[in-house]
This record gives sequence, C-alpha cells and structure tokens, in this order.
Amino acid sequence: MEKAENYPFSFLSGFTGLLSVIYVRNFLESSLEGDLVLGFSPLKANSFYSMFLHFPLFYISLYLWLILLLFLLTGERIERLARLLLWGMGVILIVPIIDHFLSHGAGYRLTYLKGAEEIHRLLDFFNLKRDIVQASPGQRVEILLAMAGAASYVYYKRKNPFRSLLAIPLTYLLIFLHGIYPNTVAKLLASLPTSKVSFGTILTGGIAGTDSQNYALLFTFSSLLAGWLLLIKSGKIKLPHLTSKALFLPLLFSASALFSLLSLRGIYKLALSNPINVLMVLGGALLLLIIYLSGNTEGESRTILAVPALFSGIALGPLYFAAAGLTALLIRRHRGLLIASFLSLFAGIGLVYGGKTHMIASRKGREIRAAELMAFDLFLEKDTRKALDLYERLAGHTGSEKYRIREAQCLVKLGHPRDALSQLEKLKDPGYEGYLTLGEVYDILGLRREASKIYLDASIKPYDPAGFLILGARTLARSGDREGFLKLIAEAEKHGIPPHIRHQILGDYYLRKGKLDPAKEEFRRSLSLYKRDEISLAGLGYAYYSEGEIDSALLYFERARILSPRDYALYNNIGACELKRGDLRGALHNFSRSLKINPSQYQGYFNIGLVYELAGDTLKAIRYYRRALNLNPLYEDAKRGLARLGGGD
Amino acid sequence: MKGLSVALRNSLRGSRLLISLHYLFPVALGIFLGSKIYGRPILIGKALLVSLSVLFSFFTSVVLNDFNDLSIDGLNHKENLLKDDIESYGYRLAGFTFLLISLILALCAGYRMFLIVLLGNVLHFTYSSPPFRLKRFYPLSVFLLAVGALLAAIAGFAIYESARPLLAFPLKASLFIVIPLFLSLNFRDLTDFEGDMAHDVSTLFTLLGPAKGKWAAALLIFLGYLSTSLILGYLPLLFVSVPLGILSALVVLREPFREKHIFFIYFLFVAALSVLFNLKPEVLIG
Repeated sequence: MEKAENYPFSFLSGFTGLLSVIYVRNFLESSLEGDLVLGFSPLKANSFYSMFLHFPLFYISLYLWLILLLFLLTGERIERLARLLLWGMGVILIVPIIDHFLSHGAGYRLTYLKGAEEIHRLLDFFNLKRDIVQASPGQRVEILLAMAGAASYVYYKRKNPFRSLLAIPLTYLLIFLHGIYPNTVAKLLASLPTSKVSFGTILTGGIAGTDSQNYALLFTFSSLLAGWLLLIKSGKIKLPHLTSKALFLPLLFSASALFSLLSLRGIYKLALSNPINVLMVLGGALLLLIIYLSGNTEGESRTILAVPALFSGIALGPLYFAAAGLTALLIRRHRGLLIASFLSLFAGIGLVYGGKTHMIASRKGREIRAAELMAFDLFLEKDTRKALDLYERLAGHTGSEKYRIREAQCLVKLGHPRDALSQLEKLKDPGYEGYLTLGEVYDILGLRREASKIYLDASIKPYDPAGFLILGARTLARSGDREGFLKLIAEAEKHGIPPHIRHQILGDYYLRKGKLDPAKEEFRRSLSLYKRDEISLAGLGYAYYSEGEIDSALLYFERARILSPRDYALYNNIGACELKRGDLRGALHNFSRSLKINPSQYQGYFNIGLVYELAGDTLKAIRYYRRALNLNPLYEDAKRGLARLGGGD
Repeated sequence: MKGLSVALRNSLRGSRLLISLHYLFPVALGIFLGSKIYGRPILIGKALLVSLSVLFSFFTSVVLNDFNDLSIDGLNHKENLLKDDIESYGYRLAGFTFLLISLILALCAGYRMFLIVLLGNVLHFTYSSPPFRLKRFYPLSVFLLAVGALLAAIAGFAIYESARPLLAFPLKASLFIVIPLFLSLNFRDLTDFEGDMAHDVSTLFTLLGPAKGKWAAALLIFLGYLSTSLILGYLPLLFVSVPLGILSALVVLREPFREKHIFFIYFLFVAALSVLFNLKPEVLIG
C-alpha cells in the first residue's frame, strides 16, 4: 500500500492511467453485454460520447468523491490517496466479466436508478438472495469490494473501528448517489417553474441532442465540484484571484451563447425553457473560467487545471472544445486575450449551432437549426403531431433523409404506418435508424416477409449484424416460417449472440402456432439460461393467458414488467388480465399507465374505452373509441365498439 | 525528423523487427477466420489498413517502453548508446506521431477498428508506463503480452464482424493464441535480467534466479508449443510442435542466448500452421 501511495508519476500520467482503466471497462462492457454493440451504440456520435465522455466523467466524478471521502475519514494526503485509489479503480473491470458469465452472455443492461424516489431501495442491495433489477451481480461484487476496501484502508490508517465501519455505508451511499444523480437532477430541473419540458427531454434533448452528451455535462458539474473541493483541501494549487479580467471570457462566451439561443427562439420556443440548454451555457462558462485561470498559474498546477477542463469541454461539442483549446494555448501570448475573446464568441455560437455554425449567418439557416431542435424536443415530449409538422417542413426544405426517417417515426407513433412506409421507401440509404423503422413499419402492416428482408439487408451492414438477424428471425418466427427463422438464428449465432435467444424465438414461434406446451418449454429453457429475459417471461404470461390461467399469467407479466418498466405492451397485458378477473379499476389503472408511456397507441385508447363500456359509462367509452379511431381510422375493434354503443356518427 | 528516424530504427532493430512481424501473424489469423466464418472474400484494402495500424501501434509501444525503461535499460549496455536520443523531445514526438498514424489508419478501416486499436494502445500504456506499469508484475506482464496478440487477431477479425468482435471470435482460436504465448513469452525477459533486478521488476528470472529461470523458461516454451496441438485437438500437429518446442527450449538453455533463433523457429511453426489451417480450417474454427 505504501508503495502504491508513493509511486512517483506526473498528474498527466495519472489522469491518462485513470482514463485507461475506464476505457478498458467501457470496452469490455459494450463488448460482453449480449444486447450491446462494441462502443455501446451503432450510431457513431452516441457511441463516441458514451465511450469517451459520459461514462468516463461518471467514473471520474466517483473517483474524486471517493478521494474526498477517504480524505475526510483518514486525513491522509490527497496526493497519496489519489495514487492509491487509481489501483482501487481496477475493481470496475470485474463487472462486465462476472456479468457475462453469470448471464450466459446476455448481460444485465446496467442503467441509472430512476431518481431520488428509489431511495427506499437503498437496502435492497444487501439482500444478496434477491435478484434486483437495479444492480447486476457484477456490480454487487464491485460495490461490496469497494466498501470492504474503503473500510480496510481507513482502519489501516487510523486504527479506529468506528471510522472504519463508517466508511462502509458512506462508500455505498456515494455510489448510490451517483446512480440516482442524473435522473434526480433532471427531475429537479423539470420541476422548475421556468421549465416547460419533462425530465426525459432534459436528459436527451436540447442543443446537444444526444443523451450521452447531456449526461456527460451533468457529471462534469459533479466532477468539477469534487475536484474543486480537493484542490482547496490539498492546498497544492495557489489560484490567482478572481479578477474582472478572469470573468471577461466566460461572460463573453455566455453572452454569445445566449444570443445564439435567442436567435432561434422564434421557432425553437423551448430554447430557454429546456433547462439543459442553460446548463450547457453555464458549463461552458465555468470551464472557460478554469482554462483562463490555468493560463495564469505555473508548472504542474497549470496541467491540473487545464487538462480536466479541456477534457470536460469535449462534452460541449467539438467546436467549443477547439475554441477552448486554442484559448488555453493563446491566453498568455501577445494579444492572446484579444484572440481568445474572438474564440469565446465563436465557442458560444458553436455551442448552440453545433457543426452548423455557419447557419447563424442566414435566416434560412437559423430557421432550419431552430426547427431541428424544436422538432426533436417535441418528439421527446411526445407531442408527435407538432413534431411531425416540423419534420415534414425540414425534410421538404433540406431533402435530408434523417428528417424523413423522423417524419416516418412520427407517423408510426400517430398510427399511420402506410404513410410512414411511403416516406421510408423514398430513402436511398436508410442507415441504422431507417432500417429499424422500415422493419417495424412492415411488421405493423403485417408484411413480415418484407420486414425480414429489410432486416436481412441491414445485417450485411456493420451497424449490428446480430441484432438485425435476431429481428429478422423473430419476424419470420411470428409468420410461421420455421426453416427461415432457424437459418437466421444460426447465422446470428456466428456473430456471438447469447444462447437463450434461440429458445426465446422458438417459444415465440410455438406460441404463434398455438402450441402452448412446447412454447412454455422453450421459454423456460431460455429463462434457465438467463433469468432476466423479459420476452420469455411475457411469452409465458401470454401462454398462460391463452390457457385461461389468469393468475399465473399475471404473475409472469408482472415479473416481466419489473424488468422492463417502460414496455407499454406489458401494462396492456396486465390490464387485460385484470379485466378477465373483473377488476375494472385495476385494468383502467394499467391501461392508463400504458397510454402514458406511449400516447400514440390506438389500442390503448380502445382498451380504456372497453373498460368504460363494461363499467356502463357509455359516454366515456364512446370518447375513447373515437380517439382510437382518430389515430387509426381503419381500426375495426373501435368501429365495432362505437357501433355497439351507437356512437358511430 | 531525427527523433522519428531514431524511433523507427529503434522499433525495427535487432529482434524488434521480428516481434513486429509476430504481431502481424495474429492479424492475418483474424482476417482468415473472419473470411472463413462469414464466407466472404479477403478485403485487401481494409486488411492492409488494419495491419499497418497494428504495426504502428507496436512502434508506439516500443517508444513508450524505451522512454519508461530508460533508467532500467541504462544498466544494460545495449541501450546505453541510445540514451540521449530516447530522452530527446523528438523521440517522444515520434511516439505521438506513431500513435496518431496508428489511430488514423484504424479510423480509416472503421470507427470500431479505431476502438480496438485504441484498446491495444491503452494496454501498451498500462504495461509500460506509470501509474500502473504492469510489466512489474509477473505473470500478469506476460499475460498482457499474450492478450495484445489476441487483440491484434480480433482487430483482423473485426473487418468482418465489428459489432461484437469479442463474442463472435471463436473461443478455441482465443485459447490457441493466448495460452501458448503466455507460456512461451518468458524468454523475452532473459536479456533484461540485471535491469529488472535493480528496478524491482518481477519476471520469471528475477523470481527463480537466472539459472533456474532459464530451465523454467525452456520448459514453458516447450509446453507452449505442445499446448497448440492440445488446444486445437489435432494431434498430428505434435509431429511439428514437439520438435520445434524442444528446439526452442534448447535455444533458451544455450549460451550465449540468441533471441533471434527463437523467432526463426516460431516463424517455421507459423508457416506449418498456415498450411494446416488452409487445408483444414475446421481445426481452428471448431
């Protein structure tokens, strides 16, 4: 331990070492989790931000806060703690490996906790017999090791059992708080009176338009706070005073960014009411301030300030990063401040306009950028009709296929798959999202052969061959083409898919064929390999439902829902079970939740209408049937419902 | 420019030229596997880009290693002459240039190829440089070298399957690369024994002493050759692997130790394996 604490290396080496450990973890996690692709996302921008910013900043924040905690508990020198904890960070590498083996290659889909409302789950983690969705087995081992390591270290340093014991819950709490941090912050921001968007849009939308970038920004703030506290405590850096000169560049940048945001406000009405945009400006200003301060410090202190600030600056976009980097280089040169001022102005515009900074020069350009941002925020806000209008205009004006795909996605959500298809068929190169949407549309229209052909075409591209082959196999299984789907599964197996998938799809095939016993058998086999397979759980639920065993069906649907709480279809299934049991209140509750998750599903409105019909509330039933028909005028069940109740006209 | 030429010369001098070739074999193996498994032709352009990228990644590792080993190798007369060159700014710049070339070439072959090659460079960094400098810990150091070769193979394979290259890469092939190399690569520490002793770098030789270490390294290299036939489950290969294994063990035991001869035997073995895999690809794919 002493050796590790005193091993000499520069700050830059240490920082690179930390990034190296984090990179290996991300590489392993995205490679070994069965439903992920190397780099986390088939979309390069998302992948880049996940691999190089979002997750690194999460771990950097955790690392810094852990140093702070150990410092408070032991009083040891921060530099020594930082050196030792670099080795401790090695523990993050075991998670993907343990999870890979225990899940037979399927992985556990590691996600953040929903937010502060999950605080009551704080102790669930320690009930090791219980499989909880919030933590994978690998994470449990990792966190337990971290707690044990912290306690042992504190005891070794202070020989104080009380402090040592205190390290255990505090370490856990620190990790737990990091788990709830992004969603909690987003929910708090969404509850501000100035905010007009939901927390999901704060995390995914705004001027970045990539969730990983927004997450990275949030973790930049927590890292900066911890870093700042550590610097104060370490006394290593003597910072120059905050003069008005130091505030000049951040203010210039903020003014430029806010002006750019305001220039979009005519169309992008959420420019200032999506809090993440304001937070981006604040983040940019803060980092620029640190970069300025670094320019006025000496030796390693300069590196300690500039390197993390520049690294975090990548989260704000390439143009901001380039401008901030040049500022760092020029700040002390002759006329450096003058050039840095121009760069700050440029960075402000670059933050808002992204790679399309030139667009600010023309009215049309500003309108396109504003429409693009507004449409995406509306899309996330599930205001699909307004988003569709904007995407139609964008596709018309620019001819860009990416807007056409979004247009089609809106049309699908609004229940117009045929219109979506006509848009998608115009695409020259559908790309990853285009292929997915096209396959989904064919599937909705019952054109399963066409859907599987599209998936097969997509599987030749490098996006996610195995993922598309699985989709193709699932589609063919549902259409009853046994030979076809088995061939695709065999092909997908060459790409390293987890073994439970074969049983899952076979179960689906038997289910569609009405062969319930073999279907249940296959689903159970799948679950024996991977107990968190929510598709097989739902499949079992459906099989029991078909057999009239409603209690068993409900049990499986509930288990699937716990694993996949955003799957609106599961709420419909649970509602259907409640309806069968005569629990109209329970059915209504679940159908309403389903509709809340996906307000564009015409079946959801029909389901609620049916509950009201059974409850004898004819007026409400007619209203809901009509809403279902508004979304899909060809929907026969709703037509029949209206005919029954005499609300056809 | 001087730094660049010194770095290039350093990367290719002595047995390092042979080691750089050694990294290209797994790449070729990966490409071969990808082509066979997915039934697609060899994509020459991408194959070339990946091979060059891996090569430059190796050059980067040499510069990084030289730079960090300076104090250790200073005790070994072979490096002393180059001390000033290695300490120069130009030499470090050459290291960055190699890294940049390696990553750009990988990026030209595809974004995910970039991720794989970057992982290789990250491993080199953790192996040679502080804060971890994992080469100090035996047998982790040798294991990392073997993993480096596996990564080179996965880079070649990723030309055909870049989304899940780790899961799609055949397990048998992974074992075939990692285990024999893990067993065999100890001989590389033989010449650095004094420097390693002085700087607390743990190797087979510093742990057992030079005499016993030599015997252990000879035994392990023989077992390395032997393991290839066992992992592949193809016993006729013993007719090649056993004599070549014995020969390699004898080279390790012989005074003076000639590292190059080990590589020449290894290349002979690779040639034999190339013939075998082309005739019977199922031996490797399983």
